[in-house]
Amino acid sequence: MAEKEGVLTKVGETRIAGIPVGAAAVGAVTAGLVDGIIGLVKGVAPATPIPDWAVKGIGSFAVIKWGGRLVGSLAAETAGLFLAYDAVQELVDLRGMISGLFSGIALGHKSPWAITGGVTRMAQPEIPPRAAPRTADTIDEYLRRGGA
Amino acid sequence: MGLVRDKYRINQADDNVTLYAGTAGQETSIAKFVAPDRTVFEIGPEDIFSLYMADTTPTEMANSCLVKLTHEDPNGIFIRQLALVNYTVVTEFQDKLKLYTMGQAARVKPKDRLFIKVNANLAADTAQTRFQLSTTRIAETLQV
Repeated sequence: MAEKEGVLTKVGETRIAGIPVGAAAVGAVTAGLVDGIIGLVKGVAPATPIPDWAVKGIGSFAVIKWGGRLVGSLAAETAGLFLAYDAVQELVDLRGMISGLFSGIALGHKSPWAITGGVTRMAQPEIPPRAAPRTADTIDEYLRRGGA
Repeated sequence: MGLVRDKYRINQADDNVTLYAGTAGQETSIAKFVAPDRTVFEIGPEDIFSLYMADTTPTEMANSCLVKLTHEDPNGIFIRQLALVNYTVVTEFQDKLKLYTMGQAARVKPKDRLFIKVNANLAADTAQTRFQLSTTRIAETLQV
């Protein structure tokens, strides 16, 4: 099926060093728009029982299905992908879990990451208090240091 | 062990001060201060200097007498003049608005000397001489 042309299609085709920067940008903008619309709807009906992951999933489906007419199929599919990712992430913190898998592996240096109940937290480095500049103990030393 | 820094006023009663009788009509030292061991005296631009001198009568010196304050090394080879003023300029002891301020800095090390030299119309008597010189004293603490 031929790709549907939308207002953002040309921008979406931009690639830098082979990386689809345009598609990512257009997808992010479109996903942002959809997020805004979802927020608007939730604002009108704040007591909605539908969980966030479901709302994002519906948004993803809707933008892929009908968004192509507005922003082009590439942008719509990318935005749908982003929203689907958000929906999955709402359910399970896949990214955190996977990155946590490697936290215990030391490759040449100690990792600053530690697994804490499935949530990755960065271990806070201990910063030693700055020592006050040492003053002279004797008059000879005081004079050698020029009065400091 | 460490150093203690505080404000200190050298005057005629200080243990490290020696007073001398003056000679009328010629420059003579009327006071000598020798900085003790393990102590440094720092004179800053804002520090003050006052002097009163009279003969045995006692008659105070004329306002136009010359007063000189010098800083010298222990051997008296190097002499730095810290003040050279008419007597009337340094006679105030209390009024903050009239006190003479040094306007320059000096670091008086152990065994260094400060001299007050005058060329006065009368012979200064040691019993009449009074002076004050504010400083910052840096001294080693007592080692127990």
